[in-house]
Amino acid sequence: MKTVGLSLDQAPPEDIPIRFFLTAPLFGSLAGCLMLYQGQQLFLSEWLLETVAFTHLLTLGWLAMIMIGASYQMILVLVGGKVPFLSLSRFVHLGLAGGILGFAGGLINNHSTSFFASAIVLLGALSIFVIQISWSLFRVEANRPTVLAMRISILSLALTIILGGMLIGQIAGWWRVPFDRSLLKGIHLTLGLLGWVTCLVVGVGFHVIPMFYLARPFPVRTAWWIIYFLLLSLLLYPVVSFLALDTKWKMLAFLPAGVGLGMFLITLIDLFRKRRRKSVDTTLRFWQFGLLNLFFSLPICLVFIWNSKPALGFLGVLLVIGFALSVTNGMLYKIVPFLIWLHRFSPLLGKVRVPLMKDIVADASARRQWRVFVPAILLLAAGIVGQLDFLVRFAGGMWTAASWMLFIILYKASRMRPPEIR
Amino acid sequence: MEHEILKTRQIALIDCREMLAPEPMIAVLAAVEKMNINEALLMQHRQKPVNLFPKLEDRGLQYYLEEESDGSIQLLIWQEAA
Repeated sequence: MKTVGLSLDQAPPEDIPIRFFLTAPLFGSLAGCLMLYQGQQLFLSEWLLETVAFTHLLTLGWLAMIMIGASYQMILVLVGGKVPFLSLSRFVHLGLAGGILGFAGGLINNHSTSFFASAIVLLGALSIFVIQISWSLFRVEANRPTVLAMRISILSLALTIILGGMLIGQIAGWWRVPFDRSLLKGIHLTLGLLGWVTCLVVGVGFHVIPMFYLARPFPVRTAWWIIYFLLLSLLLYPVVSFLALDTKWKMLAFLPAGVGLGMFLITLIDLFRKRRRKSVDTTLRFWQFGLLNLFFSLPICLVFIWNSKPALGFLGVLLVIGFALSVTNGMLYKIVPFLIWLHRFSPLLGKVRVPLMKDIVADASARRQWRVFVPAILLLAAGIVGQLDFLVRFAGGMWTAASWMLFIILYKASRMRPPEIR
Repeated sequence: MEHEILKTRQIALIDCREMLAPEPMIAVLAAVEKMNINEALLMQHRQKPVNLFPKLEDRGLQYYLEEESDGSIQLLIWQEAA
């Protein structure tokens, strides 16, 4: 392709992604406090109100917060599209933050007015985001795996929101849905975790791993296959669920996703091994730990489908906290310093001495947080498997500490100001 | 890459393929500061440097981008003769 005179000064103002990134660890700390307060009880049943609140503090409060902030920032780099009505993004943040607080608070305190009002705010904020990103994604050609992965991801989020809304409306008595609640919940969970979270992490991973770690480009043919496998499972699972086929069929529906994620894992390990610069920083450690969790979650996923009760909590810890939260935590240490550097220090290049990215967030600080983050997850997993209440509570305390450490590191970075030019 | 500028100017090559962000931007902007009117800069990179373009425009520089199917690019940067 030959392009002349590109005008690409379309990156969002720095405050937009940074406000999402700074809010995520605060919700992480709230989830940690809930673990500390509720202990093992939090993992007894997925229907417990506290468990639903805990899940959404992590999936919306942490994951969606970071993924939405990153989407606003990276859509230009990843797909070349421009996000419309960017100023609405600040309202999306406000709606999301307030909505999650009210939603989780309403569930924990059994306060229906707060719960339903917040749910509406939440659905509204997420819908604005879906419309903004869809506008960008569907106006560019889907000639790269990253674009297709992001399209699937955003469509999955839209469906997850609709199903979430249906579930809430059914609980509130606003309407009757002619389907079983657990069926809707299963599809809501699958589209949310496999569709929205996994497709986005995988699709963005195709692009950012070579970019951030000087690895070879992700093999395009493999990338297409991974996306097709994920898509196949996303199409099969709802069909199998609606037809009320038995667990063997559900396992079969997840098989393509398992193969796709296995391919993603193997390819990434190879890319990391053969990267051009062999330096190991903490963000790489977060990726490696995340991939290790993904590796172990694949067989556990099959156990969960076969017999849901014993494996659900453990699967959640591996897939959501171990894989997705770990990877997103690590990515923040790449994205936030770059944003600060780009917006505040790059205009001063050649005029004054500007700090490097490692001066904005030191790897030593990130490593200290990593040393609290990893044991917290390992203890939590051990606490759930061994049904040890004190271990779950202890992990909750550590998780709260890890979240606050992340917040403080990012907050300090966000306070850095450029020197005055005399 | 084929471009008229390549035939008329002295070309300095800057290979950013082994550099991590923001090193390519630092290297290119340092190089263009020293570039005179008879010279042009040819940047090689693994991907389109989207954040560099506004900086080049701010400095009144011209550029021409060629992108390969694997996403790698060659970017020719020069100053228009007055």
